[in-house]
Amino acid sequence: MTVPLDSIRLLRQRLEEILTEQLPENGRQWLFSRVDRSSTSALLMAFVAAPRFTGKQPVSLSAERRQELAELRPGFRLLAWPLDRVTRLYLLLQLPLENREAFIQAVETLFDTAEMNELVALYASLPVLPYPEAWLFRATEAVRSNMGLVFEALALGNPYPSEQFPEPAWNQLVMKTIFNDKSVGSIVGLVERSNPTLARILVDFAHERWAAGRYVPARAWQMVVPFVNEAMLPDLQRLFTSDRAVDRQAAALLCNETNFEPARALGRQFPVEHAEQLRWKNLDTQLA
Amino acid sequence: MCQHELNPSHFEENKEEITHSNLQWNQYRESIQGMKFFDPHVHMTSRTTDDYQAMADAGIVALIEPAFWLGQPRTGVASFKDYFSSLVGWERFRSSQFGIKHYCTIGLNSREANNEALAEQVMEVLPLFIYKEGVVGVGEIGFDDQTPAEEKYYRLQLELAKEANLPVQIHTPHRDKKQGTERSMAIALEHGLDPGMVIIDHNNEETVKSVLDQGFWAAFTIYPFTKMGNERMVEVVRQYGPERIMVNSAADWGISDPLAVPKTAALMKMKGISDEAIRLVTYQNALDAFGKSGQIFEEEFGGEIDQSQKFNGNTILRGGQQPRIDKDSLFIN
Repeated sequence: MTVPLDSIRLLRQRLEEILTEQLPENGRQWLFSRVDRSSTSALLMAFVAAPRFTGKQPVSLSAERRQELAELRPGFRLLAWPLDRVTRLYLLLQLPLENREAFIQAVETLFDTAEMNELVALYASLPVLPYPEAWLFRATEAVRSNMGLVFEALALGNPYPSEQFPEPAWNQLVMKTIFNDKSVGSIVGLVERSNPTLARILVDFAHERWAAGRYVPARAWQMVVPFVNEAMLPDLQRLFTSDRAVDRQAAALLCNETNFEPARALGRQFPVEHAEQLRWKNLDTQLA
Repeated sequence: MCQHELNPSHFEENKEEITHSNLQWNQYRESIQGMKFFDPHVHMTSRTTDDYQAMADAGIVALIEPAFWLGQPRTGVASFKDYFSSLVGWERFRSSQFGIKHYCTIGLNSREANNEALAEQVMEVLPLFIYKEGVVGVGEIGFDDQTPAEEKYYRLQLELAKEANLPVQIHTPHRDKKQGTERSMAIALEHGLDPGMVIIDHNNEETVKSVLDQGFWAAFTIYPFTKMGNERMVEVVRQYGPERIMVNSAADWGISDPLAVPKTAALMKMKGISDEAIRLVTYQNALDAFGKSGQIFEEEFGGEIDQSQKFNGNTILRGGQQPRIDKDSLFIN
């Protein structure tokens, strides 16, 4: 989604209030002496230098604040962001929001020279930046990153990819999350963006892992629900006979939720304890 | 223990005077048991993961990677930009996989200062990097050939360091060393830098006295051929004491030893230098000098690998990295 500029300005206002309350005294003085919307280079420098002045205390947000933010931008959360990251987002929103070319150029400069924490701040901020289509390539670069925190800033708890990624890029993001044993349930839009190709890739991947004596995270099977077919019946059987309870539970959920009758019938042959209390989100706690 | 039991290497200059002992791990691991080290000058970009593993095993908990010359000249500013980015990005991350805290100094090295058209462009991007987290100084800068261009960019970068209130890590030349070292210090003083913010690197017996007398930090690079041998280093510490002296490996793409700091510590221990003096020259002094950047937090050293990332409820990617693989294991999972 494109966040309206008015909402972005309001968010900027809220961030200013939060930072005024929560930055240490010298950090507050430093920040507000640096905020000069007429000087892009001063803003970029401040973005880089922020942690030297703001510290990294996690931001604290009251229930009302969380509610306000959620209304400004559904799916976007500042939960537990360190103050340097909040400050960096605030500084990004001081860049010329209305001038597409200038705004994009400034953010691209930051991407080009960013270290890890700066990249995390940039990727975590994508959902509230204007011109969302302009960051698509950068976002796919985060999926290619081998730095865990950078990958997570984009892939987990972030609504940007599910809103902007074309299907192949989305599938790559999901599979890389699984491949790296990260919490697949933390992907925003996991179920909504699922597709037959992704379901097929996941099944192939499960076969590889099983051959290596390993597992796939049980939660990942949720993506497969709409695409269960004849070819998958042996895989379901394998899950039902797994030595891991979470695999058996995933199989039970799959067979219960699918419309594919032979799979529903298979499920009835493998009763799982407390089947009615099973929830996909509860399978996240155990990774492969 | 007599010197010959230390397996003196081929590097010794004559039979009478051993200048460097190439210690083997099983010869010195006992001597440095429980010690921790800070190598304030090592070019990890040029090293392998085996080096990182060995450094961590030997007790190195933190290091500083100065920006330098990559062995051949760069032809465009983008190469510099990517190099600086890698120092604060990928290399720092790679180091964290082995539980070693990675800092860096950022600067335009003296050799490449001679390409003035390029140097101008590099100067423009430097401010974007020197304020980054974990950048603990401007460096390594100074003289190589001692040309006018080198002097020009040395001076400009001293001003940059002054403005950012960052320490300066100064490379001293191989040729005409004594004169070049004196000139480097005189120019730093002329620009109003506090000598307590300046680390003069690659010292030897000839330069150290003047460096210490003028209030600068004196760093020693343990290279068997061109700089200092560790046997000589022991004698320097014996003669001058541990104050404001630090040891580094300056290990890079050439023949060099990323374990130079722990090995030198072991040799000092074997030769009767006090534990406290060893701690100062192989750990604390570097921390104090570069700590003036306000960017070094000792509590972040060592501990669990990737601790900070785990604190945030995250783990590192396993696709490419397997931290702390047991290298003696026969099994490949």
